[in-house]
Amino acid sequence: MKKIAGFEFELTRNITIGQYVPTGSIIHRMDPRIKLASFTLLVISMAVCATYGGNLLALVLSCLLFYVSRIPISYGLSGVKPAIPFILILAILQLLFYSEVASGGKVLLNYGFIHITTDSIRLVVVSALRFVEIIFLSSVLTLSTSTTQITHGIESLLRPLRTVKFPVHEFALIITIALRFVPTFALEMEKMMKAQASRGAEFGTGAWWRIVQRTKDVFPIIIPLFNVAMSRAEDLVLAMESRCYVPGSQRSVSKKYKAYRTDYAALIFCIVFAIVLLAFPFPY
Amino acid sequence: MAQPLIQVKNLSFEYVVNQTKIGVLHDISFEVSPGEYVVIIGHNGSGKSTLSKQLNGILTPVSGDVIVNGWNTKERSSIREIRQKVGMVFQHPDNQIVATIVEDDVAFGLENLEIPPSEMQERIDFALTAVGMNEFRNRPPHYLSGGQKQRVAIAGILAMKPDCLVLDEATSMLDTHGRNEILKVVRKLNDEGMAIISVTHHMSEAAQASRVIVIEKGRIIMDGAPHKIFQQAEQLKRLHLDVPVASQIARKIQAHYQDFNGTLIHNDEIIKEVVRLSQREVTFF
Amino acid sequence: MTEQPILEVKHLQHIYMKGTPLEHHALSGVSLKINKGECIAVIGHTGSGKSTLIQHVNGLMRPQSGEVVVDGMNLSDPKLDIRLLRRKVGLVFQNPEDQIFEKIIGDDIAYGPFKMGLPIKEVRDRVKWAMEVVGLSFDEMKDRATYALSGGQKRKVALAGVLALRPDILVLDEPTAGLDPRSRNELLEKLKTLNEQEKITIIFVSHNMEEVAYLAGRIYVLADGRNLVEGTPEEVFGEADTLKKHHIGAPDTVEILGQLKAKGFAVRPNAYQLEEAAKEIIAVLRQDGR
Repeated sequence: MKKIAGFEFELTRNITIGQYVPTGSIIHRMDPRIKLASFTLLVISMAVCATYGGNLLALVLSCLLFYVSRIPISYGLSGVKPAIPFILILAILQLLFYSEVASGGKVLLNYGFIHITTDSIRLVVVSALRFVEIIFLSSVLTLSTSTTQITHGIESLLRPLRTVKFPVHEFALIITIALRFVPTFALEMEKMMKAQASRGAEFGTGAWWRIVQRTKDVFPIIIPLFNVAMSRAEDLVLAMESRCYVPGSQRSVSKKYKAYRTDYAALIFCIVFAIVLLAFPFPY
Repeated sequence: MAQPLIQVKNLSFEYVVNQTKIGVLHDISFEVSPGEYVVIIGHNGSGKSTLSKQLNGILTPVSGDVIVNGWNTKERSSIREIRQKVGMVFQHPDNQIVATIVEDDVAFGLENLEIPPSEMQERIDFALTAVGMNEFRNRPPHYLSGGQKQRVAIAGILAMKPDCLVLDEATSMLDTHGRNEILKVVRKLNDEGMAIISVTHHMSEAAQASRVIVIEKGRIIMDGAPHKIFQQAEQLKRLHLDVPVASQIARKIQAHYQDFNGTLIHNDEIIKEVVRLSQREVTFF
Repeated sequence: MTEQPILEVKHLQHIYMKGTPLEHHALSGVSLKINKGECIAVIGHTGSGKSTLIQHVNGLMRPQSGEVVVDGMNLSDPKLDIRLLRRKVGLVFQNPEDQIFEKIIGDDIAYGPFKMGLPIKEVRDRVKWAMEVVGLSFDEMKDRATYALSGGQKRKVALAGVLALRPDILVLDEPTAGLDPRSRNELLEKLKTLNEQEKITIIFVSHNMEEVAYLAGRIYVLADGRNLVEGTPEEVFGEADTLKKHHIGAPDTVEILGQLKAKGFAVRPNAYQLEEAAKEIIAVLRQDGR
């Protein structure tokens, strides 16, 4: 029997990008520029840190961030859930094929081409932990920062690039509009899939090797979606022009951000934390 | 006589598709005074949307002129001033909101006008309060209803302090409740002195205007007070345009009860007329 | 009456994102019972659950709790033939013209029947029937380009695309939203013909009360995912206060009569048809005059 469940069309409801949870916590109130810089620092240090101790510490910190930002940790967990199969597959691949890279440590199992050592175990566990940490971190960042703040933050951080004629402002506006339309297009696509399914279309059924057929199956979605996107873009251009937008011309900035002492304290904390993760000789 | 806010003089416009010219507007002339409330009605394809886009220089005439507050829309140097004076709200609520937060969207036009940030906050407060969306200022737009999104779009225009608001079928995608929300806001703005030009095919909207212009095949075929326009029910019917229910009822009653005023177009007017007639009879006794 | 209803919905519930912090109750126990050949309006304020409800009728959503039975097919049955169900129930979404994806009108309408695997002759017959029934001439229009059509005509094409499945039940979400008066009236007439002459059961969602009054034989009013009022237009529009409380309008006729009634005039406030309403007012005026 074909799998046709009801919820296969519910796309939007699973998109968490741009879902801002306003709790007004200290993390929410941070200057977006400093917040962005701090989080980037943390993510980089976690991605590089390869010890058990360091990663456990990082995991504790990322859980703590949920507490401080007063966002239920279930948001973070629901971000991890869809990644679990991916993490598992990665773990198996690492276990089977990365033994050459991580060949140090004690040999635990040696059977045919399977070659498991304490180091390869560590690689697997640390990668999984990294995944969870980074998902948690980016969840806290996006849930506690409005997309506008993120784009303003990016714009400010990229401002030095203006000296090399990089159109920083236009770039930020493009990001804003893109983020603005993510939920709109997700809804649109959901509606389109449902509408075509109502006319007898089927998606993702049939044998996988019939690529041509399966590609053709998505035409009834892609073509109208493209048309709708084009007409939306046309409308948007008119609306922007009507509001005196002239590309490339001078504009003022609506929000001035001011960094407070707490912001700098947070940044310094993140720098110290990153240094600890990278440089501290954790015993494991 | 006050100087007209917008003067449309012998405006003609055509699109060129595959080297064939398709005439859309033919020799259209009218003026809009400050504080007027004009409704433009006509079918899809009658040219009414094209006409509305001429009013702030999005499109410019092929022949004839559109003059806004003394500036000709053909002179591109004053285009920013023209668009600041004549603000425009479009049909699709989703396609005119630029930012991811209500407040930032209202700021978009102000940023374009290079308003200093100190003044910006004040203007945003004013505009959001005027449309009753102040409590939603930190919301992302996709959590709002259609009517609320359109109110945000209006606020984005109001913050620029225009003299005239053009609504290009701004209520056609909304439900009754959403439409009434918008109409209430628009009526209030008009009471406060803002000129309104509303392109629509909802006759109930036409009934609340001070003037109705009917367009068919790119030409103005009627122009006058709503009471007068809706008296020509036969012609409107020939054009497949509706007449407000109140007006239809009034005429039906008048046909059987001659004292009843058949030119009424509002629900309230019907009530008043019934009250008036019944009271007259009471005093007669 | 022992007649089997063609659609029965019992205590239907639906919760979006169940078990997450964003949990949202769209339907909290809705029941409908619709007989063959009826024309039913479902009305309610934005967020009342109308759209979620109609997506259950052709199996785009399955009941989380409660029951939906379409002509003997139970949607909770895991072995249900969903393709058969979707042929039985044609669902027309809001702004259906957005779904048109073929360049040629005839091809787009033929998409559904082709997907059903019908022989070419049968597909052609169905396209012809569907086009004629919505008022598009088959010979003239079938080879025309879809992009050059007006909004009203595009909507007719989209409607024909669903009708070509030859459904017994036609479900429409805001069928006339965004159309100009001429196209709207034409479409409403076509729907009436489909219901009366082609005997198709129609269920439509609308916020335009004039349209509901024109088309519907019976009305279900939803509020907050529950049944609020149901009955004939007279019965439902008689509950003007309840409707108002839930941000649902009434036809202008009902509004006027309601206000007169509130002022103490002896009118029937639910005489929603224009003629009737005028008669009511004339009667009041004559009475006072005597």
